[in-house]
Amino acid sequence: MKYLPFSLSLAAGLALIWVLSNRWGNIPPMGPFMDPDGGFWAQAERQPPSNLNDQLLGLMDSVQVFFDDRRVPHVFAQNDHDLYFMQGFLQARDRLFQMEMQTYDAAGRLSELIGPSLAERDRQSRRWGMVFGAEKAVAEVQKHEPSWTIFKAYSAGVNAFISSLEPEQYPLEYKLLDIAPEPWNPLKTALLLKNMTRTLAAGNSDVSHSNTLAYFGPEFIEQFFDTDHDLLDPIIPASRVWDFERVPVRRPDTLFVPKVARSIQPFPVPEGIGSNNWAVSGEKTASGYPILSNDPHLRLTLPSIWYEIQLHAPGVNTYGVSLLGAPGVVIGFNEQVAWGVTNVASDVLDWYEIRFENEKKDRYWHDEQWKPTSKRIEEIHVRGGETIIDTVVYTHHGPVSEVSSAITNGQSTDGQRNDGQSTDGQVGSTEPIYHALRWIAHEPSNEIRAFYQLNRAKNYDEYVEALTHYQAPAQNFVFASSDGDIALWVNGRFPNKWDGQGRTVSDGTDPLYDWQGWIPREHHPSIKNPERGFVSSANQESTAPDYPYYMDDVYAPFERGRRINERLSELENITKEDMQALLMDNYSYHAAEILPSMLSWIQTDSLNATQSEVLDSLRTWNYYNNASYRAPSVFRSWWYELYGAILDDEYDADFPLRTPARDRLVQQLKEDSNFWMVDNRSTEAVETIEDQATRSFISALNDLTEAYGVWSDDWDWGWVMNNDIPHLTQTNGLGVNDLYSSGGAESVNATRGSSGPSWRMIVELGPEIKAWGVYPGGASGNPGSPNYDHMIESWRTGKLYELPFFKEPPVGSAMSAGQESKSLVTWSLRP
Amino acid sequence: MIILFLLIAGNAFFLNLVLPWWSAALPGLFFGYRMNVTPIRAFGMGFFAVFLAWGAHATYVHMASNGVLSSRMAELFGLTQDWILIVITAVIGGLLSGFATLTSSLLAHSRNKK
Repeated sequence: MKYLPFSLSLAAGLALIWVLSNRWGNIPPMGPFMDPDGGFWAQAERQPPSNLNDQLLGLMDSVQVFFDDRRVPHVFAQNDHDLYFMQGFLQARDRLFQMEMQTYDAAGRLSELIGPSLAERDRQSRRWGMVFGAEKAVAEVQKHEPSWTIFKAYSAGVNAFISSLEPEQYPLEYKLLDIAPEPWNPLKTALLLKNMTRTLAAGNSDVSHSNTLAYFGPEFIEQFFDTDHDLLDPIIPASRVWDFERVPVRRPDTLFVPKVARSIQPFPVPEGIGSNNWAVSGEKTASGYPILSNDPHLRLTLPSIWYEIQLHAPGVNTYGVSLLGAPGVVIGFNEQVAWGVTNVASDVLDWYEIRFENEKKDRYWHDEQWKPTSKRIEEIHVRGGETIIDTVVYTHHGPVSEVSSAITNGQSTDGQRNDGQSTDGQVGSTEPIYHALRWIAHEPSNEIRAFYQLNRAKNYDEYVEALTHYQAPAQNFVFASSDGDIALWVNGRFPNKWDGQGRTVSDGTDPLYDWQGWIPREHHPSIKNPERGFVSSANQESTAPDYPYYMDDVYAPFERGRRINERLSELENITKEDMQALLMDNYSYHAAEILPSMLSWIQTDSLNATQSEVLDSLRTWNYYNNASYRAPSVFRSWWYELYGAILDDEYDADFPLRTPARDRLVQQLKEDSNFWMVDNRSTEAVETIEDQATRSFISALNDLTEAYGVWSDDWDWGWVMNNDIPHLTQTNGLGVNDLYSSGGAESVNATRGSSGPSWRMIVELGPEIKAWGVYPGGASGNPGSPNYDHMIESWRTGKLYELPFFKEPPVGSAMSAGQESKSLVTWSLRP
Repeated sequence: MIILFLLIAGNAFFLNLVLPWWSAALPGLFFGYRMNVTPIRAFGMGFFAVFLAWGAHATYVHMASNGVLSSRMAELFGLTQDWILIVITAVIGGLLSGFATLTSSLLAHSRNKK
């Protein structure tokens, strides 16, 4: 008994250690996490980076890295191997967690790190064949020795950094999640690129379009989806003559009618994905040399999706932004040329309805015969849960998803509803529906080779040759050179489709629905040195309707593209400042188009004093989405309400339907303000547009009052747009909230809540290239570094940093510390 | 007594620089055995020694880093003030050491009862 107090105390102490060693829910293991030496405190940056003179195993020759005052690395290597080795090392050093998260996501492995909450996303990633696609890409890369060399060098650099880490040096997120980094390999680089393809080229409306066709009929499709807006100004000017015959394809006599599916589209693509780029010729600039500009719009996160870097080695000197996990510069410039990208919304993802022989799914019907499937067993390891085994069946089209089971497993619980709402009686069918995925991401490709060559391109011809290696996600590659050329290629690999092919769910049994080859490269839409003196793209349609091939019908509304083209036409003697102003241009073509009509429809006698005051602010608004205006907040809410009032009754179905694009509906309303959808079918009365406009205005003001209080500065668009930049994991405290910002979905400055310009860049070509840029974040991915988010304020206010582009090592090879440039931190590394 | 207190605090601080977080318990285990005090005082000495060591360490890091990370972590844990994070850090170290000191002083007590 005399040892009892001792035993109790010992037990209590051991229990305490056990409790503190373990993760409880989302709470990290508090012992190691709060350790003032090795816990999260270790990530609190106490000193800025300093000079380093050291050995780095894995290098072949000596390397110098200069970090400028924004900590952007400028790498000077003696060979390609060391160049990409260092890129891997530096990216891992600054952004390791982000690199791993993105590739775990692509591989369908997030639940390994996070737990069961992400198992469904992982299952979808597997069913979409992300790893299958990445493996094909690696096989393709291996065929090209220089590419394979840089893939391996990059991986070795990442691993050199990872293996240098002790657990207390793990980035903060590893400590929060209580995980450890795993070695990098070339497959992960391929997975990262597949993730970009999923972000940018997985958009499709096959199911909803099929449903819409069945539900509303072909005239509706013709009216809302086949007709371009009058103000649409395509990327390739309509004046471009297509002097070739298209490669013919065989098409079916009648369009297949698929079973109406109720599946909710996985990985929905919000409108936040879009971008601008342009280049103006020397004839229009003050310097006499071209100026190029690019701002890719993506979901905004911390750390930023981009990593700024300069890469210098024999045969290459390039600067720009790179993706975390991939060697090379994606958007940038070198000593002769500059380039940038925006997304092409071409339809490179199609669903095929599959007929299996029986539930074993060993064979499927295609081309009048039963063909064998192959199967891939996916093991999804779940942290704190049981491993999920999922067998994914592959046809020659691609991997198969069971869409009706997606309903019962997924978001909707009423999968067995049978209310006969459909027009062809298939809704509510309990038999499983199988859709196979035909997707560009499953084609072998080697995009890194395109960037490798682009980084080294000296002129237009080398740019064009580099682009031949680029497949997906298709991009509008804008180009400018110091020779004076400007150009734009709608670039990627595009299936050669019959008109409308893959717009609806395709017949998986009929070979006429298969992709029958590709649009030959020489037929791709492109333009070089057009008469108008500029090229541009803003995700709008690539070409005028006379382009001989079918690419898609889902492009961005006309607004940004038209605004850019109008401004570029007007401007002369263009300077960097003009381009900067255009990047930050907040004009809303959308409001300019529809607001005057809305104001004419509203019945003012039914408004009270405050409502009238708000209405007056709209009457005097200049259509700019400026942070300090309240009108954009009111207009947006009013438009949303009106849009809902017009469409919601017709769209009251429990399967997905495709809604008209914003600009198309605007045009319809202007042409016929009382067209058939305006009336609310669920009421006895017949509503006119005047009724709908007035009610939706009052309802919008009520919503705004509820959310922001009485009509005051709290209604400023800068707040109402709700611009937060969250951490990748959405963890509280690691993001930046309530950025008072200008911009809008329909403005060139496409900043809106949590998405928008992820990188703004202007490059002035000439004998001495000058460039400016900014992204909302910082080089460091460490939330404990002031560098983590230091550029956000400049980004928010439209400021750009001049990008220091060195032609040779800025401090010389025989440098002594701190001699020439005090603001540069220098690493001298030897093998 | 004050010397034992300082020995625990100092050793905990330095051991933590080379060993993982649980090293906060080691000085208490070692010196608690040599401590001829009531159990409450043993716990208190162990607790406050490492409370001080870890608290001072965390305070230094907080100040030297301008609180950039501590304010983020405070928000993450839903704390209204950054300094609460320092207190939590100090308490965790203190508890470890408190129980360690108590345990070994109780062991000494029990053996001496022979």
